[in-house]
Amino acid sequence: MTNKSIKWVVIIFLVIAPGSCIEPFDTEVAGIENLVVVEGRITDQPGPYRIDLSRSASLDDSTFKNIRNALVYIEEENGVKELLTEISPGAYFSSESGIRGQVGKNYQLTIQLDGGNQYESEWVQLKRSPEIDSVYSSFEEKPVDNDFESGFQIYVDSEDPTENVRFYKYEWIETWKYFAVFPAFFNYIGGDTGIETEPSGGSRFCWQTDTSNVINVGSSLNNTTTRISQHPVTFVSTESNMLVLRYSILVRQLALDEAEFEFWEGLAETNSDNGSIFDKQPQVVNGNIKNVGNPNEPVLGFFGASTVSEKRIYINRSALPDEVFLDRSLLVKCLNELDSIPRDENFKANVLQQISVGKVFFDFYGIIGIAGAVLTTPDCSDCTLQGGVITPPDFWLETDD
Amino acid sequence: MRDFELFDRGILQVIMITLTGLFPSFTMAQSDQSFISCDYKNLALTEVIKDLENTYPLKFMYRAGDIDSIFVTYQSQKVPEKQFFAEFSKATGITFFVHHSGNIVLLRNFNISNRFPDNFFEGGGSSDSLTTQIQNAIPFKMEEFQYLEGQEQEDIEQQLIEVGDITQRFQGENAIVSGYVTDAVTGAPVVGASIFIKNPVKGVFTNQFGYYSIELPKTELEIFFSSVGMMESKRRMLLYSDGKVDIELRAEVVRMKEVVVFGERSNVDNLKTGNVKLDISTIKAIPAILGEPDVLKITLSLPGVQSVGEGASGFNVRGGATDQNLILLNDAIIYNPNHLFGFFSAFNPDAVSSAELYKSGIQANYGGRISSVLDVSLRDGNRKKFVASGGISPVTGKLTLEGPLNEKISYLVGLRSTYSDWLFSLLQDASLRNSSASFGDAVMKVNFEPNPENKLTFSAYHSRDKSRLNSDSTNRYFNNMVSLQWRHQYNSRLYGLVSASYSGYNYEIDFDQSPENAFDLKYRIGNSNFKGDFGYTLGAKHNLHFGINALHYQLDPGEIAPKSASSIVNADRLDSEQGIESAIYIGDEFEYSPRLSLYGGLRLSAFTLLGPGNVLNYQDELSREITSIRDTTMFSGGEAIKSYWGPEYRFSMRYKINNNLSFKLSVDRTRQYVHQLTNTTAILPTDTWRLSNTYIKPQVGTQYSGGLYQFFEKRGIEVSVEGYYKEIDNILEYKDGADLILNGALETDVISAKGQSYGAELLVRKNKGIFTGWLSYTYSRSFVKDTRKTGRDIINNSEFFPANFDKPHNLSVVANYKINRRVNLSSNFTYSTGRPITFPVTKYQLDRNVYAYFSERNQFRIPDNIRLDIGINLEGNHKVKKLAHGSWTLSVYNVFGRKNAFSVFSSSVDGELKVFKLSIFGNPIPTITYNFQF
Repeated sequence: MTNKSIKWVVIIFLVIAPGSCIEPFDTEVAGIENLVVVEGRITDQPGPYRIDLSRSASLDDSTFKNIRNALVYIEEENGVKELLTEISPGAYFSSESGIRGQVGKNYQLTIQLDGGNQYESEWVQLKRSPEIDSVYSSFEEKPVDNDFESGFQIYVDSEDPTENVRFYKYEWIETWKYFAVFPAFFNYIGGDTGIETEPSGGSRFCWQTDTSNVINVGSSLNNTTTRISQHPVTFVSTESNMLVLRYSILVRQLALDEAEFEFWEGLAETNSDNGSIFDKQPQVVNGNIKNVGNPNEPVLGFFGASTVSEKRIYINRSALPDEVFLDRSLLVKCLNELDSIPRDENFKANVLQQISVGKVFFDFYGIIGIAGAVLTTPDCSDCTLQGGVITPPDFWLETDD
Repeated sequence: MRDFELFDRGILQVIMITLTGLFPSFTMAQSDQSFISCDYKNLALTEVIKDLENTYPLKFMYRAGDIDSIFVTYQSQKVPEKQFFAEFSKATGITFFVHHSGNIVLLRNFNISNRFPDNFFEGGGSSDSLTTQIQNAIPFKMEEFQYLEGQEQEDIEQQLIEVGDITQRFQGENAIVSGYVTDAVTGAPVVGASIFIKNPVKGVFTNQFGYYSIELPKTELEIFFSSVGMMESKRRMLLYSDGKVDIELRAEVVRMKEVVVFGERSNVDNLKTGNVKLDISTIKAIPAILGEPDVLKITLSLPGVQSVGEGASGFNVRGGATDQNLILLNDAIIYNPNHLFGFFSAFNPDAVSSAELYKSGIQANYGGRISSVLDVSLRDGNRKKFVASGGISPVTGKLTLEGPLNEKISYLVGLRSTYSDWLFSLLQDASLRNSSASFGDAVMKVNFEPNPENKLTFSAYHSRDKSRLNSDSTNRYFNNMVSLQWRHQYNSRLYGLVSASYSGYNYEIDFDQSPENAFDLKYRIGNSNFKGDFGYTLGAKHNLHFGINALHYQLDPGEIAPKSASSIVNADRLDSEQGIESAIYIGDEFEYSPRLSLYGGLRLSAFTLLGPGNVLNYQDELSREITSIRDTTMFSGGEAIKSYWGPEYRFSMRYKINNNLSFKLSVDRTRQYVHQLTNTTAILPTDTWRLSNTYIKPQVGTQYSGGLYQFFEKRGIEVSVEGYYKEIDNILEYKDGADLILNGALETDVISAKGQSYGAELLVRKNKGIFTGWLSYTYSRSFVKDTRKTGRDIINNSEFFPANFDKPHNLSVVANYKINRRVNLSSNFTYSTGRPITFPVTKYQLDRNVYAYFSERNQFRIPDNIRLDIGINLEGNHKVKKLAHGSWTLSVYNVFGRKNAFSVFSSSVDGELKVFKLSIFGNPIPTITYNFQF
C-alpha cells in the first residue's frame, strides 16, 4: 500500500528537475538462460487442460524456445495419472474425456524432459472460487502516462461465504463492437463514365476481443471478512475505440492459496519496477515446481488448481456522460483522406489511379444522379483491418435485456 | 615588513581607503606633511618598497604573490605623500590602504565602495578624532572591522598577565589553566577551539561549552587560541598556579562564507581518527540544489561517506547501513533527519552552528550505533543584540530570530516552511496536478547562564512533512525533540554535563481510495534519554571522561484502523514495545609524551526488552517460518523478555613523527540495539525502527582504523590518508518479498547477516586564504553475507555480495574562491562508481506476458556518476544605515547537464521486456536564493 504512493515520489523528482528522463539503456549482462518455464492449471471444468513448456531467453533474444517431446503428466492423488499429448510445439493437452479436477482433491504435475531431467510440482489442492458478487464500472479520470484519460474503471466485489478463500487471481476477456467510419458497399469493377460495381459486403461492424495479460491478484487478508470490495480490474479508456458502440468484459476469478498468491504478487511487484529507489528490491520469485534431481535449479512458473467463476457485464456508449467525447482522431483522419472523383472523361483513369495507390471505393455522390465517386482508405472502410472480426461472438447480446 | 598572510588571518584590523583618481588628495593617520621624492626605472615593486621603507618612515604590508611580478617606472619630486600614493597607485595598478597602525597595505585588484562623507577630506579634526571620522566614513559595518576592539586585543596580547597565586609558584612544576572561550560578538561558546603552546608543543580543545583545561609548566608562556572561522588570539602569561583565563574570540574580519573545515592542524594533533567537523559556513558555501544548504548532503562530499543516489535520504559511513548513524541534535537522538523523502535535511541551516562526524575513533561517551556519530549543535542565540535573519528560495522560506532577554538569558527561534505546493499546480503531468508535498520545522534554544560556572540550555525541535502524491493517500511524519542540558564547572579539574531529553518520530498514512477500503496506519517511536557526562583532569597527563547514559524506548510498531464505519479493513495493532538501553563508560586520554598520546575507553552497554509482550516460539529456531510456529510465551508488564549486554572497547593512539606529521591508530567496538527495517534501496519515511528482541540480536561492529596526517604549515594544507577494516555482526537482511509493515512475526522475514567493509580515504584540505576547499578520494568496498547455511531462500548462496551502497571509487572536489569581499565562487565536483543493483538474468513468457527473472542480489552496477555544481555568492553592500543586510546566492546544480543514472531497471512493455535508465537531474538546475539579516 505504501509502495503505491511512493512510486509518485520519483515523479516529484521528475517535476522538480525538468531535465529528468527515462530512456532505453543497453546492457550486456552475462545471464543465465534456458530455464524451464511451466504454465498451466487444472480446473473442475471438463478437459482438455493445457500445459505450456518453454525456456527462458537472454534479455536481447526476441523469441522463446518451446520444450518439445516431453512427457507431461497430471496426476490426482490416489487417482488417475494422465499423459498429456503435445498438440503444437510446447503445448501439451489432456484428452477431453480424461482427467477432470474435483474440488478438494490434490493434483500434481510431473514432467520428464527429453534429456531425462524430471520435474514435479508440489501437490496442489483444487480450491473452489466463490461466485463473483458483482462486476461494475465507474466513470473516472485516471492519470495515464502524462495526462488524464477518462473512462470506465471496472471493479469486482467478491466474498467467500465458506470463509476458505482469502486470495484471488483475476483474468478478463474484453470484447467490443465498433464500426468502420466509411464502410465500402461497392467494389469498382469497371466502366469509363458509367460505373460498374458489385456489392462488396462491406464490413461495417466488427467485434474485437482481447485477453488480459496483466497480473491481477487480490487478498482479503487485511479485511474483517473474506470480502473483497471495489477491487480494481482494468481501465477502459475513452481514448481507445472500445466504447464507441458497446463493450463487454468477462471477469474470471480463480481461488489461490497463499503460496500461489505470493508467487503472482512477487512476480508483479518485481516486474513493475519504475526505477524508483523506493520500490522493494527485486526478488527471486520461485514457483512450486522443482527438478527432482537438482532442487536448486530454478524452475519458473506455477501449477495451480482452482475452479473458475465468471461474470460478464456490458457497457453501452450511452453510459458515457454527455460531455465526454470519444477519441475522434480516426474520424478526422478518414475525413481528411476522402477523395472525390467527378464523373468526366478521365473518370476511369482517375479511379484506377487511386485504387492503384491503395484507396478503396466508398460511395457515389450527386444530388440528381451520380456526379462522381468518393474513395477512402482501406482502414476507414474495413473495420477488420483494426483487428476485429465481422461476426459477433456467440455470447454477444446486442441489448441489455 | 610583515608577511601579508597576517591580514588574511584577520589579526590586522584594516581601514580601507582606496587611492584612486576620484580622490586625488587624502589624509593619512600619522603623517600630515611628508614629501616623497623618487626615481624608479623598471624596478621590481619589492625593491621599490624596500627603498621607500629605508628612506621614509613607512611600513608596507603585502602578500608576496600579489606584487612580485610588478615593475615600476615612476618619478616624483617632493610630492606630498598623499599625492604620491595616488599617482603611484595609478602607475602600478596596486591599491593602497592605511592600516590603523600606520602601516600601508598593498592589495591588487581590490575594489571596494568608497563613499566618504563630504567633510572627510577637509581635514577638520585632530588626528585623535580621525579614528572616529574614519569609523563614520567607512561604508561598512564597523563591527566587521573592529578597529578599536582589534587595537585593544592587540594590546592585551602584548601584556604579560599573571595567572594563579604567586606564593604557590614553587609548589610543583605544572599548573592547570582553564576557562571559557566565547565568541566576542554573539557571546556563544566556541566549541572545539584549540588551545596550545608551541614550545613544548601541547594542546587541548574546548568541549561543547567552550570550556578547556590544560596542564602547563609554571613558567612564562605564550598560549594560542584558535578556532574555525575565528581570528587567532594569544596570551602571554606567567603561570604561578591553577588559574582561569577566559578568552573572547572574534569572527574573522572577512565574514564570507568561506570553506573552513576543522581547525587546520587539529587533525595532526588530536587523537581522533576519521573525524571531520563542519562549520555552518562550510555547509553554506557549497552549491546546494534548490538553494537550500544542507548539513547532511555536505557530509557526502567527505571521504568515506556515501549514499545510494541523488536525493536519497540517509547516508552510509564506511560500509555501514543508514540506520547505523547516531544523529544527535543537542544530545537528543533524531530518528529521521530528512524532509521530502530525503530531498532536504531536517535541520534548518540557519539554526545550526556545526556538525561533527565521527567515522572511527569514536570515544566511549558515544554509543548506540555501529558506524558513525553525527553530532549536530544548535547555535546559541546572540547575547548582545536582537537579530532577525532569513532567506527565500524557490522552495522554502526561513526566519530566525535571536537575541538576549537579559544579561543571563539568550534565545534563538528558527522557523522554516515550504510553499512548494504551487509547483505542483504548474505541472504538465496530470497525475501530479492534484498532488501536494510540504514540510516545515521549528527549532528553539534558550540559554540561561546565572554565572560562568553554570549554564542551562533548553532546546526543542519539531519537524513535519505531509505529502499526498497520488490522491488516495496522505502521508504525514513528524520528529519531536526537547532537551534540557545543565553544564556545571565544579572546579578547574572537573566539569560535568547532565542532560535529559525526549525525542520521537511518528508517521500516519491516511488511505481513502473508497469508504469501504479506507484506513489509517500509524507508527511511533519515542525515547527518554538521561545522560551524565563528566570530564576530569588528572595530573599532568591524564584527562578522564566518564559518565552514564540511560534510554527508555517506547514503540507503537504499527496500528491500522478502519477510517469509517463502512470500511471493511480489519483493525490490527502490533503490541507496544518498550526497552531500556543503559551504559556506563570511562575513558582516559593519556599523554605519555609530547609525541605519543593514547586513549583507552570502555563502555558497558546493556539492553532489556520489557514486557508486556508475546514471543512466538518456532519448531526450528534457526529457519523460522510462519508455518513452524510452535507456541507463544507471554510476558507480563515490566518483565524482562530478553536482555543483552556487552563491552564496547575504544582505543586510539597518536604518535607524532614530527610537529606536523602524525600517525594514528584506533579500534572501536560498537553495539546497536535498535534497527531500522527497510527492504527498499533508499530508506523511506515509513521504514520502522524496532528494538532488539529474542530473535533480532544486537548489531555488533568492530572497526580497525589507522592513518597518517600531515600539515603543510606554509601553504596551510592538510593531508590525511586513512584506512579501515570493519566487521559487523547481526545486521538485518530481508527475505525476498518481505513485508515489514505490520508484521507480527518479523523474525520470519528477517535474516541475520554479516557485514564486512574496508577502504582507504585520502583527504587534502586547504582551510585558509583566498582559495580554499578540499579534495577527497575514497576507495571502499562493503559486503553482506547471509549467515544461514541451509534453506530454500538463502541469499546469494551465503556468500558475500556487494551492499546496496558499495560504490568503490568516490572522488569529490570542493573549491571555494573569494574574488573579493562581496563575491565568492564555489564549486563541487563528484565522481562515483555506480551502485550495485539486482538485475534480470533471464526473461520468460508466462500468462501472455514477458517477465524478468532475478537471481543473485546486487551483481550488476548502474553507470558511474559524474556531476559538477557551481555557486556564486554576492553580498549586498555594507552600508551602516539600511534596513536589511542582504545577500544573493546563485547556484547551478549539474552544470554539465549529464544524464547520470539514478537507476537502471527493466519493465514489461507490450509483451516485451525492456531496459531503461532513469535520470533525475538530467539538466543543469539553476536556483537563486535571497538571504537577509536586520
